[in-house]
Amino acid sequence: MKKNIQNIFLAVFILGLIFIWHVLSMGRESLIFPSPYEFLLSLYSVITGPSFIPSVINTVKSVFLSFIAAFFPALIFGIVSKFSPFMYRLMELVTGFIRSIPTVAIILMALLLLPLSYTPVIICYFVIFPVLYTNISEGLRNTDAKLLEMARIYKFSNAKIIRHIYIPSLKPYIVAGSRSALGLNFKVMVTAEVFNFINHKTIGAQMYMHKIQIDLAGIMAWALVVVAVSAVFDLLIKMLSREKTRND
Amino acid sequence: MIRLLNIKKSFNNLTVLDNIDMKFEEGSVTAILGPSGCGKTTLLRIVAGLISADSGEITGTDGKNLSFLFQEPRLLPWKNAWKNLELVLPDDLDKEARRKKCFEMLELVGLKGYENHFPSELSGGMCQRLAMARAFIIQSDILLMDEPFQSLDLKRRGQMISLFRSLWVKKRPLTIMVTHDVQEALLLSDKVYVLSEKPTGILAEIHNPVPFEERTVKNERLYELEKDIINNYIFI
Repeated sequence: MKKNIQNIFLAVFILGLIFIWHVLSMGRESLIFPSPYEFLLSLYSVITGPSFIPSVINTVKSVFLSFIAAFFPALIFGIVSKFSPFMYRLMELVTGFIRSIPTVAIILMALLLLPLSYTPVIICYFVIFPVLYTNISEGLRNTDAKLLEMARIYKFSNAKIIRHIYIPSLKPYIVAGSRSALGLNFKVMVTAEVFNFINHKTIGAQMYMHKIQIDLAGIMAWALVVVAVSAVFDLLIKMLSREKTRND
Repeated sequence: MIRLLNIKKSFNNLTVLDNIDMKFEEGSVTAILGPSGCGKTTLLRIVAGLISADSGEITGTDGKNLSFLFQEPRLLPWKNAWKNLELVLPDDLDKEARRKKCFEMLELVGLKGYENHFPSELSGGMCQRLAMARAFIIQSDILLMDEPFQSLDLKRRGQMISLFRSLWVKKRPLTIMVTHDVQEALLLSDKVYVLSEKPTGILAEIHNPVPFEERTVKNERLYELEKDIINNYIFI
């Protein structure tokens, strides 16, 4: 199917969904279920409101902080696991365990055990660390042994092996891991912020306030903001990884 | 000269190589001919130092520069053709000299104009030519070849053999090649070791009487020798 025709079908599909949404909003639940128009009005008021910029900045800041805090340990443990079978087994156990715990249980435990101001960051750290570690560890383990053998024959220095074999092999795993971790990070961060009501200027806190007011349109508007911010970061990672590939 | 003395190698109690004694002369090509799975590649990997023998001795490889033509090209997929060559050059060579050397070698192997192509943009035969260029671009003392033409069709195999001969004759490194193709072994090598099935031993050591320059598929003596090897050692 040609791209133009695909675009037409896509536009018709989206318009159809908006129409169904509009019809549903006219029913019994119309008091709380907003129409597309009400949603747009709410989105406008959220974006132009005084809390928008500080809330987005605070949430993005926390997302970044937890991402960086998880990324470097994941890299270090990934490297150690590559060369130590014991560490690999240990980390498989630890990350498998963390992955199996429901996110809400991590949130509730962290709220009870940790100082409130750092809770969302720490919660996100625990949720995304296994994702990043697994990707990095798999990337290192899947480095082509035949290329490493070739490098040994042609007497590549260790720096050359790291730069020209390990890093390029690892890159797609790091990009994929970072994309999933950041996407997950935004979702979990907002959830943690809803539970952790210490800072009013966060996306999660804003959602919580709309919930108290039974303002579904406001919640939906903030949800769209999360989707948009998350998509911007996803795009940024994709662009950065492409830029790097050209310079390799 | 490289010497292998009483080389033994087993994997999981299965003896693969049993008391192998071989001698490889400087400036010559020696073929190790044997059926698939007889341990030829294992022997080559022991010479390359990629794995160690259970017992025995290898002399003549210490401190030597190695090149290796593998069964598959083993090129870095994220580097273009000339960067794949450049990587094996010594680090102390200046940038311009490296570039010049790479481009000259690419021309020699018929890849002029493909300098900036990545391996995924080249055909299988072109990748193997690039791998051959990599093996010859450094001043190696020893060249090891593990059935490098196996994956190519008959025509490309013939082209690669000609290319190999034209490159080899310039520097004449001590070369050990592993193959199961009798004709290929005789076209390229001065000496052929014929190996048996597992546990692998040496069935015969045959010196090629035909001089390097006269070795073509049409050479009668070579054809007779090929028939002899097939009749006496392959179909017995």
